[in-house]
Amino acid sequence: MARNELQRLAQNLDRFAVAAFSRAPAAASEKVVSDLQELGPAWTGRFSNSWQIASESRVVSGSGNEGAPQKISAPLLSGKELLFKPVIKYTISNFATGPQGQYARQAMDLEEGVFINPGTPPLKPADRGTRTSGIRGQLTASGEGPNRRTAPLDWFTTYARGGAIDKTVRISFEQATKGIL
Amino acid sequence: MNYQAIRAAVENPLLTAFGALVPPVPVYFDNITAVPPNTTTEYVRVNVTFGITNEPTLTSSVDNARGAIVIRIFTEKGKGPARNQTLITTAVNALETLNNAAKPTSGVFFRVGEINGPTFSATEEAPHFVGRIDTSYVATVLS
Repeated sequence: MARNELQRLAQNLDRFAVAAFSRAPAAASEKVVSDLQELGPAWTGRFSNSWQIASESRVVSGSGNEGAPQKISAPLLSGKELLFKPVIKYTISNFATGPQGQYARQAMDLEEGVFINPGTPPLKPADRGTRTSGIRGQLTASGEGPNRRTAPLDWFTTYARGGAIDKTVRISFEQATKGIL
Repeated sequence: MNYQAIRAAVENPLLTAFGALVPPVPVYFDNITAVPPNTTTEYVRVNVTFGITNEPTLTSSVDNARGAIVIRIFTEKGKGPARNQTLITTAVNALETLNNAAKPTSGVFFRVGEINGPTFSATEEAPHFVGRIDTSYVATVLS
C-alpha cells in the first residue's frame, strides 16, 4: 500500500474514533436532560423545555416554551474538545424565566421562591398540601391545602447525588460504545 | 434492606446535636409537619432521600443504598447570617462524626460524601433566612 494511502487510512480511522467516542458523552448528557425533564416539576412545561447542554464551543438549548417536554440534542464535540480540552465535556443547566425572573433554582428546591398558580391545569399530576416555607416542594403531607407541587421535594438533589445520574451516564456510555470497545 | 435503620443512622446524631444546644433547636424530618406556616421561630428541617438500592457495581454487598441528605436551617430574617451559620456548623459536625465512626460488625455502616454549600436564600414573603447544605451518602446494612 502506498504511503499516501496509509496516511489517509490513519486519518479516516482517527475521524471514525473521534465520531464514535464523542457520541458517548453526548448521548449521556441527552439522557440526563431527559431524566431531569421526567423527574422535575412540569406545570406549564416552560421549566422542562428550558434545559440546555453546553460544550466549550457550542450551546444547544430547549425552546423555553410551554408544552410537553421536548428532547434536545447535545452539540457534538470536535476532535480537539474530545481529546485535549478539560475533563468536563458538557455543562447542563436550566434557564427557565418567568415574570419574576429566573426561577430554575427555586424549581430545583435549591432556594426559596414565590409560587403563583399559572391558571392552567398542570402537565403532571400534582400533590396537594400547605407550603410550610418558601421552598417549592415543602408541602405538608396532608393531601389537602391551597398549594400544589408536580415533583417531590428535593427531586433534583436526589437525582444528582443519590446515584441515579451516575447510573444514567454509565448505561449511556455502555450503549454508545457497544461494538467499538 | 432496612431503610428505617439507615434513616435512623443519620437522623439520630442530628437530633442529638441540635437537642444539645442551649436552647435546643427543633429538628423536623420527612413527613413531620409540626412547623406552623410563617412562624418566625428558628428550626431545622432534614430530608433523607433514597436514590439507588443494591446497585450491583457499588459493592459486592447486596444490602446497600445511596441517597442524599438535605439540611435546611431556618433562622430569623434580617438578623444577619451568623446564627444560621452557627447552626449549619452543628449540622456539618454531626455529618462529619458519621464519617469518623469505625465500621461496625453489625448495624449500619454509613458514610457521607462531600458537603455542598452552605447556600443562603430569603424572599420578601417568607419570614426566614434559609441556609442549605446537602450531601450524598452510601449506607450498608450489616447483619
